[in-house]
Amino acid sequence: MMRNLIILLLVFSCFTALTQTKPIGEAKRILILLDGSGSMADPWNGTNKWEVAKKMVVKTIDSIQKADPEVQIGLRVFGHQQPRAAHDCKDSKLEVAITKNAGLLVKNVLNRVTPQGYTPIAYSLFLAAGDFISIEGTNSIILITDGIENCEGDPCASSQALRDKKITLKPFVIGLGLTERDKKNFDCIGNFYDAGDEKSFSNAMSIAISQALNITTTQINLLDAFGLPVEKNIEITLYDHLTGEVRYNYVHTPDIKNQPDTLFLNPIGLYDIVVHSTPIVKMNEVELTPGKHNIIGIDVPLGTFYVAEGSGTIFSEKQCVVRNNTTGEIIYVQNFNTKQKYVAGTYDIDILTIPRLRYENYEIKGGIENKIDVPLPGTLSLTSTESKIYSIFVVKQNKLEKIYEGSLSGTTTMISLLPGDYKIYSRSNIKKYAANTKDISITIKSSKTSIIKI
Amino acid sequence: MNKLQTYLCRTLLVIFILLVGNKLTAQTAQATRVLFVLDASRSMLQTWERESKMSAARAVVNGIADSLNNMANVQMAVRVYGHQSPQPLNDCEDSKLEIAFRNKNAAAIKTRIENIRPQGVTPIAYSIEQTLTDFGDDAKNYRNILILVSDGFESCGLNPCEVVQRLKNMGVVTKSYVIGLGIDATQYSEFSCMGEFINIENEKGTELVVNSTIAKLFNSVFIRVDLLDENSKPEETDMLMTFYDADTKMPKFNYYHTINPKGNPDTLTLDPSLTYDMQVHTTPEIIKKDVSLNAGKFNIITQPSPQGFLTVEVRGEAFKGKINCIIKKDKNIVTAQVSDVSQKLLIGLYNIEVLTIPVITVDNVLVEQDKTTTIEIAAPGYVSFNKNEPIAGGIYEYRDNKLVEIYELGEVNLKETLAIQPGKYKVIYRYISKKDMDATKEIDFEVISGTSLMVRL
Repeated sequence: MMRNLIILLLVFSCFTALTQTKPIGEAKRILILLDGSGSMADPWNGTNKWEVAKKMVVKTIDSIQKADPEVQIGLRVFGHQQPRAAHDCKDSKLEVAITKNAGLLVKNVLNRVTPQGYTPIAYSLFLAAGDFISIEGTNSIILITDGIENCEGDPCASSQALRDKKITLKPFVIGLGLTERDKKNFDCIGNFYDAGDEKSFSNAMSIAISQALNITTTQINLLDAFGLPVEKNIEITLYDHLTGEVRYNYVHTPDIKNQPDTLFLNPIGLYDIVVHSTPIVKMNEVELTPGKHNIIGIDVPLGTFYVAEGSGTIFSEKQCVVRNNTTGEIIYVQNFNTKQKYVAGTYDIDILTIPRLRYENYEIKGGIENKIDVPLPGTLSLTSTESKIYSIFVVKQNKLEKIYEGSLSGTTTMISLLPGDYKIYSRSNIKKYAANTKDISITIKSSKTSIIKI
Repeated sequence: MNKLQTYLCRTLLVIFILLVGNKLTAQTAQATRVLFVLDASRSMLQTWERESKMSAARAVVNGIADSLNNMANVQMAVRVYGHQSPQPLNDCEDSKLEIAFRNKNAAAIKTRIENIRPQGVTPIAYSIEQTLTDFGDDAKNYRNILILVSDGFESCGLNPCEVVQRLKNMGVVTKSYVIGLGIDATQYSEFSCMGEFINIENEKGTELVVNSTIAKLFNSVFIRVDLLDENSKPEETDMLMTFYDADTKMPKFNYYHTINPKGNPDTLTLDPSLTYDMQVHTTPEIIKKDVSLNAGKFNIITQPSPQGFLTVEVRGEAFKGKINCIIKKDKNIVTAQVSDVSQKLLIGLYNIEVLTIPVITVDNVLVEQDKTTTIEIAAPGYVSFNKNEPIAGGIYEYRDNKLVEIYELGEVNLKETLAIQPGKYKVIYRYISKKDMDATKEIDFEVISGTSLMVRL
């Protein structure tokens, strides 16, 4: 008996010590605003939206309380009290007032709610603003809905009330339910997270929570050829180093002050960061310092590259292949006249014209546009009155290189060739003797058709 | 007795060839010019067995000149060095074109060289340099043969090998022979670099040299190329073959390999004076180096070139587009073709890259003798990306649990339609106008072969 008491005391003192080391934080309040309308009962990914939402809310609360037990949590549900037939656009209730240690209460409520009614999102947001008792500290609403507002409310009208209370709203949509019009309606209150599946839902949610709790901030600087953090609009994936799972996907951007945007990443665990430049740039085992502003610099010096085809009347959709110049692996397949950014470096480039062009160890320089000019092809119109086989060659330093071969039987073939000099060898299939090998030298000019009879 | 036999055999052979030998085909019908460059340096006065080396040299030149005198389309000329200034003067420019190119001038040549008195030094490089003028501006219209007859090496400090090679590379000299008079075996390499080297050991040797040289110069040689399949049967055919002069690397003859109406590989005629690098234009090409021909025989060249076919086929009738495919042997590109076209290839393993979105790579594709290996790929689906406003982003797929970008969406075009292979993908994007990384969105979509899909961004 006595021993148990001691252990209990020890636990208490530990807890006190822990809470004391934390900075005396401002109050953090999160209201979960949950859609309990009939459409939430619709099947989704093998279960239904309501079940997924419920699971998500429970998981969210658990992770919030784990991260910071001081956070106050509340739950408001709408559309759950009246059946659809009642058309009740004021069906919205604060089921659990915003308070500490609300986890169990919330779970109990969720277990007895059945989704059934209408979707008065705007109205609920308006009421939710009043659920917060103070404007001190940070106030956030996490809205989870399938997004189909059917009470003709205007969420923008509620946004003023939210702003007055300094409440940030993180709306989540289950499924891909939002119409373009709905999205526009919500644009005035915040960015929507379209959650295509449970996993991306969960990812997005943890970002939102990190933000709400304001634990740790991270800034990823993508450095250009001059070491300046100005590269942007590149996708970045942050993997959990241990599990290998995707934790976050972002498209990098500078914020409105033109600084790399601040992220609220979960500081627990190690990250493997992949910058989806072409080719990718990796930074493994990145550790964040909790409670601090972390700056991660990654060298991604980009240069633009394109194959410019001479202008003219012929429109061609030809491709070039950019390869790793050591392994020969394809890094990217690029169409002519389209620009693509690459990490500065040397590449092997194959241009799929006839004849093929190869640039080995081509240097794409950072910070500039790198261009290979390719002239417009001309057309070789090849005819023969009898059945023949033929091959077309370029002669490079006296060596014949075959670039095309085929056969004709009293027909015409059109071949698109780069301008230049070629040799065509042919042999009749009728008078089948090696001595009947014939050759003809031709010159192809851009945009012109050369009619050759063999 | 033995030597006599050899001599008789060779002579008979030459006659045989002259009798049966067709004229070279159209590809070799150009006129021939033979330029003798004759050593008349002081050392040529040395007595060799019964007569001087000069006499042996005369015998060689006279013999060849006599043999060629009645041939149409042959012109001869003679340049002599070392005959104008005595040796102590060390005249390194003592070289003169004594007889200019003309038809049927053997008599003039014989008379002139009969009166040459050897006395000076040995400016071989200088003399060969001068032949550039002798052959003249229209050198390329002729088949130009240089025959150097000498008993010693360059004595003026220049490099004659370099000069000969330069003239060959310029296309001025087609073929060069070096006929040495009693050259010591240790010096062979200094002569062989100037051309095909024939050393005359003694006076009796001259006649053999004359005959074998002529045989090589003025008879076409008959050859048959057997392109073997995997079972060593000569059944591969219909590829162009290029025969390069192995010395200058200039292309000399091109023939389509042909199985003639009798069902045999057709006979080809080549210039027997050359050694060839044979290039068979299979895919990839085959090069057989240093093919030397026996002027007096029917030559059969065998070359394994077993082939099969490869096709990259897009499944489904609906797909009409052409997809670029790259065929590689190890890391090297062998050829590029489009889908649904059969490509003939040497048998063996290839790595294929099909330039769909995403790129499909198929390694170690086996092409077998006479068979068609087909790589089937699914028809793509068409995905239209309709954007509300300009975005930054790309299309991704999971590979080994890693997100891999397979296509970068354009920032400006509000509508992009792409042919994408069936599968599950994810778009990661952000409106460019939103300066907030949390505005990053993800949309998953699945492409089904042959169908259309719209993705709203």
